[in-house]
Amino acid sequence: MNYKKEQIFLLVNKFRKSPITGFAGRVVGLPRRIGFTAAAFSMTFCSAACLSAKNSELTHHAWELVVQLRFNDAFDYFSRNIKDNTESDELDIRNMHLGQALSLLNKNPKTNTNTRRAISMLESLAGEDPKDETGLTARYLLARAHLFHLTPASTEDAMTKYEGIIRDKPEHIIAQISVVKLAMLRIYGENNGKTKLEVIKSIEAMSSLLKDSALVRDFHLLLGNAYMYFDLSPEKALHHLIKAERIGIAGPVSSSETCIQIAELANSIGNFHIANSYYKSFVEKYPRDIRSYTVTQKITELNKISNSDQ
Amino acid sequence: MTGFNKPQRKRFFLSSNKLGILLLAVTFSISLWQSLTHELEKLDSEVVTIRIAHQLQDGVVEGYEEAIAEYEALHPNVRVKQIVVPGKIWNMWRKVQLVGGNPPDLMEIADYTVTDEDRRNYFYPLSDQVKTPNPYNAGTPLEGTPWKNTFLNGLTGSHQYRPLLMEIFAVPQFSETNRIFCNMRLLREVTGSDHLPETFDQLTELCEQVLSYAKAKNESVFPIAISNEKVDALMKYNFTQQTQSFALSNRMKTLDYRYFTPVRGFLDGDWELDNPQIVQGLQLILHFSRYFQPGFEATDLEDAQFKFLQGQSLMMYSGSLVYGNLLREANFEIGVFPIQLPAPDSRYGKGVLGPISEAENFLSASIGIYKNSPYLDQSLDFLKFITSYSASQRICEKASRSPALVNTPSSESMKQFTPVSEGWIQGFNPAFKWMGIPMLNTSSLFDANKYILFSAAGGVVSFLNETNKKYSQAIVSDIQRETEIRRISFRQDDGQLIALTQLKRDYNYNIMLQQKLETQNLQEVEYLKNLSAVATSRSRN
Repeated sequence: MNYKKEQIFLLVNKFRKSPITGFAGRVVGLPRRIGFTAAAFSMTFCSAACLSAKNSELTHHAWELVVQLRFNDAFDYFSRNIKDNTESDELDIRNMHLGQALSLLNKNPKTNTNTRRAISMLESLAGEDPKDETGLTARYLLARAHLFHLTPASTEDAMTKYEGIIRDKPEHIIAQISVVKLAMLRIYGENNGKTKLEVIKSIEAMSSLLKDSALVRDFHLLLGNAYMYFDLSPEKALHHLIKAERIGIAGPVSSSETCIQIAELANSIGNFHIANSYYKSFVEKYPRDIRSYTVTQKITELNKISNSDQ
Repeated sequence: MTGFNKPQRKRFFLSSNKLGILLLAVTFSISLWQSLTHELEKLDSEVVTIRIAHQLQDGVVEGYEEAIAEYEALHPNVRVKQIVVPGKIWNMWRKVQLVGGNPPDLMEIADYTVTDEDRRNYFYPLSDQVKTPNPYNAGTPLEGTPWKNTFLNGLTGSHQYRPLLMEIFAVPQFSETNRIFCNMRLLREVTGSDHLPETFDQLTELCEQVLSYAKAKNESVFPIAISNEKVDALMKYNFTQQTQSFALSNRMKTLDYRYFTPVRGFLDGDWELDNPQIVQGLQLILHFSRYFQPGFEATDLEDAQFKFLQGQSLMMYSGSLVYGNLLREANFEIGVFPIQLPAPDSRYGKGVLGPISEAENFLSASIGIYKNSPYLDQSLDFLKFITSYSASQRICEKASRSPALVNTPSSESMKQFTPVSEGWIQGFNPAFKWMGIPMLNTSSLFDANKYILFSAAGGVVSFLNETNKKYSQAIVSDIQRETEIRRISFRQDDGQLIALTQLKRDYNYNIMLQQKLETQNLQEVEYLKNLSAVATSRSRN
């Protein structure tokens, strides 16, 4: 039912945007909106039977349903789309199957049967062509299933899957995401006989793999925070956080957090110039933050130090 | 027998068939006409009706009524319908509306039972919208200020911003501050002056004077009336001041020690329940409790108000929310002042930095937008209107409340409730109540053992001994529950993230993807830190 409704909705929308509808309204002398509606109605009903929207448009819409977290609707949509388009391009069909498996994984009510079925669908997609976009995404979702869908969770299996994706197509966005995910599992997981510093240093070496700016930023945030969390090196932490901040932090809270972290780290290692500049920037950008007054006091302290030095 | 012969019967059936068809055609035409007219009217006039639901509170309905009239005059194509629900049935009503699939377009998200899952499933994230200025602030002191920064707490309060989801879901209407209300007539009788305490020592001295007065007059008068809920609020206020130094020395350099940071800190062995700051906080609460009315642990707000209004207590500790009601009901003048906690390095003040900032004080009547509302744009616009400089002032005046906005003057009588923004950072509340994270077992443990702290045979040491027995276990079970919730949330996030990678050729979806990546990665790190803290704590025990 949802599938049908969505298809009609898409068609109506198509006609609404069409210049023909506006023109038709004017020809019969109706006000623009009524004319457009009348034309849209008549044309929709006359044409609905013989027109079908393009597969790509329908698939695009189905993915939009997933963005809206409407997994049940998306599952119906992908499933019907697969059924109705058996002669489509193989890549399109694989993409639809991926959407179907992904929405099945989150379909309500969540059942073990659905999870198992979705995983088996992902496995066959990954097996057919592990290196095309669909195959890589299926492998990524399998890694995530090991972490968040299956009980007990298996970090080892997830890490193996991430490593495989990165090895096979490092420049692909899914591989880029996998680099950050793998890095965080290694940092906060078991040490396997290494010290945390050794683990973090080995991860730093992975930075050359990253090309996507958003993921480069996340990678630096991850490393900067890890250096602080494990009390390892404020200098290194500062270096990574400044790099992340220069790329641009998207979230308002993470952005204020990073700003204050940079100021505090710089202050702790005696880099008062950077500290002062980020403290000031914090007070300017986040005047309502609960820490603003404390930061103002810190600026006063720094000014005193700077005056006494002079 | 019908009395008809065959041809007559045939004619009758023919004519009745015709009549039926005619009736059917007429009713169909009427309904078609009505339905089309309705649709055409809608298109023609483009009048939309949006609904806003909130809890029934004195003066708020009238305040909104005025604002709605003004808004409708500005936007003749929008009608706003107010749905007012009594507080006692609010939770149930809200849940039914959301689950039923036809909730109002705008809805108050002002209670702790609105889970993150509810917020995520039903409410429209406002994080992007609040970055730009509110157009209704044009020509006011808030012109050009990002909407977010027009609020006293910058929308970082737990009713607006959800740390686990890293999204803002609501904007508030009122600012609530806890204050001490004083019966000025009784104050003059007891002290012979109008002077209100300005320090912790002066407050203590006044309380002692009340006890002496009651004894001398043999009257049942107590220094402070308080409800059970406000005892918890006072505990939170007190603990967050006592533990300020934790925020200063947080190794994550955020000048913050809230949310899950103290929880992990406990599991990592950074602090224990018998930490000197926590002990001092408990001693201070015990100190105050000597001045509360007997049985305060089981007193609700109405009872506490009743005692104060009847002159059975000199003062009452409560929120600005009750002020309008007190003004209407009291037959005496009411003085208002902030509770004074100990100054640094004074008695009970060892190690504290100073008064805590109220900048992130509780901002109430937070309104969110139903994410599947057919009128998202209109709802967002109306929300901007009611939280604008001018409309907000008028609503607050009608409701005897303080505005949630910065640089927005309160009415003369509400000035005492303006939050103190020149205050120091906060630490944490070891009960983890009202700290923006779900720690039900830990806060319930504190609640269950509070009687030990306040009983004659109990005290701080007994309370700590008893609470310590189950504290670690309660924290671990809470954090485990939280990691389970996050696991579920990551499943959906992954779906969304993959869908965004599929749609990223579209500029807007690409922007969404970048934000989603950052949010999910940061959340996942928090999740892994929590898992690791639980594992560390297990290996240590």
